Amino acid sequence: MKYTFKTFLLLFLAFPLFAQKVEVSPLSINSGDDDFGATFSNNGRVMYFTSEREADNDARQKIFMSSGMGRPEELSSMLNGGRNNGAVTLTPDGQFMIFAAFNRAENIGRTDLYSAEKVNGEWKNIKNLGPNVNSSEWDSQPTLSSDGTTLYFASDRTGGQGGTDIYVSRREGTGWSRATNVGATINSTFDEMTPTIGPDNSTFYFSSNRPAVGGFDIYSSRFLKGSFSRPVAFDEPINSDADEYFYTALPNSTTAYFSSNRSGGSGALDLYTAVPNPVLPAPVRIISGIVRDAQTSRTLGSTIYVTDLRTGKRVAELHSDDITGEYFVTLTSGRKYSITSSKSGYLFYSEQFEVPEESRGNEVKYDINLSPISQGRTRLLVFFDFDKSDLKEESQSELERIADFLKTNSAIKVEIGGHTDDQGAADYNDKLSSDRANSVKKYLVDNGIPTNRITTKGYGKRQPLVQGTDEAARAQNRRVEMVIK
Amino acid sequence: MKKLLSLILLTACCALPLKAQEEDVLRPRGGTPGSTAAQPESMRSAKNKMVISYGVEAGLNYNMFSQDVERSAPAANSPEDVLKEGSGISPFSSVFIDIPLTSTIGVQIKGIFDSKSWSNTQTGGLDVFDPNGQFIENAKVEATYKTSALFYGLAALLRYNFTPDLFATVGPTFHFLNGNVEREDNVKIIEQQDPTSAIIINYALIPGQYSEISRTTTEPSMIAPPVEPTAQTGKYLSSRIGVEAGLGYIFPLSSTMQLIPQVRYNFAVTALAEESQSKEVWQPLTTGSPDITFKNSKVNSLQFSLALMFNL
Repeated sequence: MKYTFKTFLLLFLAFPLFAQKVEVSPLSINSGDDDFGATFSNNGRVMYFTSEREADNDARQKIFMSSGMGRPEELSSMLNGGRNNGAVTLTPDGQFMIFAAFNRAENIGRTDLYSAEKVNGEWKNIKNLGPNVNSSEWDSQPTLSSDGTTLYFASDRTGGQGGTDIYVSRREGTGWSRATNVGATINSTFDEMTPTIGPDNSTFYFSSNRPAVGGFDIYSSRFLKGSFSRPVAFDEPINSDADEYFYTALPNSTTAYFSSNRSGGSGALDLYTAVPNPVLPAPVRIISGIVRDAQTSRTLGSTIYVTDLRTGKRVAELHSDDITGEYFVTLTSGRKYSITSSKSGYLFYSEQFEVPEESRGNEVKYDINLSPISQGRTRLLVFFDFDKSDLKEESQSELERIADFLKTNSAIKVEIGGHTDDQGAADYNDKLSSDRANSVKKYLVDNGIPTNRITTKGYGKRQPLVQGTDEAARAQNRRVEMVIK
Repeated sequence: MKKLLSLILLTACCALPLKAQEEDVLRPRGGTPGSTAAQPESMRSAKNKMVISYGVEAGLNYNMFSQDVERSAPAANSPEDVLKEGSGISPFSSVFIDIPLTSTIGVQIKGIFDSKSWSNTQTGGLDVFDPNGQFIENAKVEATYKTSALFYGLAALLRYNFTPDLFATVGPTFHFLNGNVEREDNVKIIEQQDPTSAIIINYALIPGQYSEISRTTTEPSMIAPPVEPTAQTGKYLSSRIGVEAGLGYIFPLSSTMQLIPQVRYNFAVTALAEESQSKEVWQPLTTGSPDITFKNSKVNSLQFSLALMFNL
């Protein structure tokens, strides 16, 4: 039923686009050499791409970055350390990158995939993705799902459908699962390459030289319920008798980017926009904000997790920028999530929010303030049924975080305090809030935290977080807090 | 000849390193289209990659034989004129390698296994005799022949792509005769007033009286039947040179395999056999016996083929 609704919603949203002529335009930053593989972070504000514009004896293809379509800057030589480097993909927060490198010292095969993390504004911790992903052959053109957990890439390894094929690997802890061929719905005896997954983690684009308009053409498909729909080639003017690669859709935007060596460009492969994008990804909600020290307001780099509260599954793992504290995350509509930010030396912070089904195009700002452990206080994202003190299932991930935090910081002691809203008798609320605090303590003790490190208190309705008797105020006041003692 | 072949092979070999493009993040093994420079349209298709390809080909020849038959005096209505021309269908096959030199131009080197056969039928006049050797009449006969030969060949063709799919080839071919040439001849009376009359002729060195004479010879020489034991034979030449031009269209079957139907015309530049001498013996009483010279024997072929080509 939900999928039917989504399908109609997509058709409805896309209907005006059918009537519109797609305009294809080259980007002003194109050079006379190859420029291809545009990918974006920070909600489309920062673009990374591959270019040969500044080829030298050490490296021919290099990774470039452009903020706001400004002058492209070559990334560090540490990142561009192979003979050919590029075909970049990033998580939406712009803090984690996977790229391909040919003839790099750590290579397993001819061309391998590498990951890199942004630390204090520099790309560091460059690691080969290992033999689960890389083969002895050509492995390139990675694309990460917006939650950073699924990696698609192209490879010419043996055992595929023929030519180059598209493979998938999934995040497993700190590593990646063994890559598997995505199957014959997408792959054929021809070459399939340059996969990109839309912000909705469903709309899938790739290039193939199977007969269509000409050369390599762009195809789209949808990944729903674990399988891909039959790919359909774009019409002209997106596809042409030249080659088209790397079709990339921006979140909640009718603009898409692709690369082509068609005539009329600046030379070789160029970057183009296509407006409106004829195959739009489903709308997503972009949550962005800045993580700060709650006391000094200094911006902080922190690890952020987003969990789908319905499934209990972690749907995104991201990082706020070490220098600017900015974070971005793309979420699918129609679900309730929790977001948790943590950093060494700070008390973690969790919040829940809902992304309505009909939400579209809005970037929601949500700043996070982390308290230093020394004087920390944080609201715990634990849930109870009305008038009950039994912990609900969706509290599980938060409870695990509390336990992990206390194990990591074994010297600290905490108070778990229960709070209610203003309704009901004071005695009753005191008991209810105390019982709820004790439920949290019991979970923690059962999971290895010494009982003498945890005290509990039921505050009832005596310490409201905000004043007011409306439902919004009451919702904020019904809470369990953890305070460092 | 050897110099020419060596030059072609040397050119092809020298071109190989030029095509060794390094692998990058877009192009596995450097072979995927959309390369570093702005490329002509024809190089933008997967069907026309800048990679060396090889293939096998099989097809049919439509052979068109011709030779000049000159006489020292006119001999109208001679059955010998059947040898002026012929046609026939025969199979051929080849293995080839295609080496791209530029975005639209390449060289194809072929090793050919080429069967040729052709035949012709023609009516003419023949002086027939009674059993006593008395001349009766000039009867009507039908003369037929069929020739089969096998050649090994080598072709060095220049390829030019008009589009990513459509290309033309042109270049020299070199055919080398393998073994002997098989020749079947048949002459039979199809119309005569006296049914007892017969062909009395020292044909194939077998004197006798026949209403039909046939023979099959397998020999390295003689395009013309040795109707006279004293005829000067002209050997089949061991090699011949031709020029070939054709068109092909590429249907991709996969990223590394293509199906290519082709049509070509193979024009013979050099003769099939040496010039040979003989004597007109079919109508000694009604026409006389002028000397005959056979020369400029050539087989041109229209070829239709299907090739499977694989990218290296």
